[in-house]
Amino acid sequence: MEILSLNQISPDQVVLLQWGVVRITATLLYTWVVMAILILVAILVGRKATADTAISRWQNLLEVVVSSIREQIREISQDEPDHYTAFIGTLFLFIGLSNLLLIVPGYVAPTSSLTTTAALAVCVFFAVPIYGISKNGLAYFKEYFQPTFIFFPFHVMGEFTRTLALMIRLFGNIMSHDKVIAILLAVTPLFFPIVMHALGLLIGMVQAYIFSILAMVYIASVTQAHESHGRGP
Amino acid sequence: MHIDWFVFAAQIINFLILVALLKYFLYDRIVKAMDARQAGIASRMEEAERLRQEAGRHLQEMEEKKRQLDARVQEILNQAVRDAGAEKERLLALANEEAQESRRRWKETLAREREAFYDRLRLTSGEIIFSTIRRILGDMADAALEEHVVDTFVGRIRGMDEQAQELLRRSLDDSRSEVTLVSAFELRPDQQEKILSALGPFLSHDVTLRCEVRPELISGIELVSQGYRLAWSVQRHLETLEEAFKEALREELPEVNLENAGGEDAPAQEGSRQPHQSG
Repeated sequence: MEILSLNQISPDQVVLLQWGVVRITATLLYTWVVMAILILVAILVGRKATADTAISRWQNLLEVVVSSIREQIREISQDEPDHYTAFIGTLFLFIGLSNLLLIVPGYVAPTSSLTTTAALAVCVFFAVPIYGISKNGLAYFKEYFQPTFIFFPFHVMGEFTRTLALMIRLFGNIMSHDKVIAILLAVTPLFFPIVMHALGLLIGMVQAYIFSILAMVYIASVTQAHESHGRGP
Repeated sequence: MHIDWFVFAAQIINFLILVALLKYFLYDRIVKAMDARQAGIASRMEEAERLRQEAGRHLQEMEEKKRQLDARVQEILNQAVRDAGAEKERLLALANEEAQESRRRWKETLAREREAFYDRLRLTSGEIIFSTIRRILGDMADAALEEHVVDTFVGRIRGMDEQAQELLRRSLDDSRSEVTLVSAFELRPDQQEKILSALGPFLSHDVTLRCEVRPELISGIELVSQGYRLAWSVQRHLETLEEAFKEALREELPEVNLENAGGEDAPAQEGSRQPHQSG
């Protein structure tokens, strides 16, 4: 069953149910599928999580993933990763699993919808000042006037453009890959799409990594910038 | 390209819900488990390090004790070797001394036995000599000899000195009426008469001559009268000779009991008032 035809650029255009303004699109459906898988695995594994040295394979896998995420956060933020793990880790896991599931026939990645990437980018957009303020208080806003107040508009513009860049980068990569696979299936249905699928998995993981790392960099830039100014002469 | 604002809002809410759920179900629990495991491993490592140090300390103590024990064992062994050597020397000296003592006693015993053998040899040879003489003389004694003996006895009576004559006279006076004449052979009446006539000068009253035969005299005559004895016999000579021989032996071997070793021929002194008249 082809949910998304080639001429439909986004899964948002596939409406499954609609009650007035409430429209259940394919984006929402697959988002819930990804969320359900993540939460189910988390509950099943987390419920049996033990501090013993003998652990299950699933716990071992999740520990490797979580500790890798925390290690990356620690390297970038030069700080304890506890505050950022939930947000950054969830970004990575959600985007990564959304992209990995592309190998399932009939699946449409939620991240190939501009609405989803925009929602995630907006989350990052708001997370940056929230983390900044929680870390440094209102001194966070001083960053917009550094080195002089003239730079304030550029700072604000930078905030918007980088959010836009996050949004477009993820959407473009995943959507275009989805379309390339569809076109290649029509042109060379044997072998070559498999290679492209493998490449697509790599691209999907790279994009998930880039998105979450950039989010962490943005957050770290506001938490560490103030610290470096504070420590300065 | 368009953005569905309802889906946009729903996706933001979805994401926030996902963050909250994953934080509760995944990150917190996994991180907590990892931290607990890390703390457990750290405490176990710390415990292991403590035990290792303790074991090292115990090992050092044990090695020290073992060294002390080895030294003590060596000391005891050395002491035992020294003691054993000293004991060996002592026992050797003791055994040597006992051996010398045994040898000395053996030599003494040998010497004593040799002396005793010589003594017995001397005594036995003396006895043999005397018994041989006695047997020879006994074999030679006969009537002719007896005649000589009577003559000799008479001659002796007559040849006595004054003191002897006085003794004889007094004893004959004391005797009531009987004088005993002991001889190896029975005396003929003429021989008795010859003797009585020889005694005549010493008699103050009549006496009866009672003759008695004793072959152990071998040859000879004895006159016995009231505590007096006048004797001339081979037996008496032999007794005198044997007595002299034993006296000589007694002087040489004072410890040898000659009374027991000398045999049955001890001289009978019988309280004679004077020594025997030897021929």
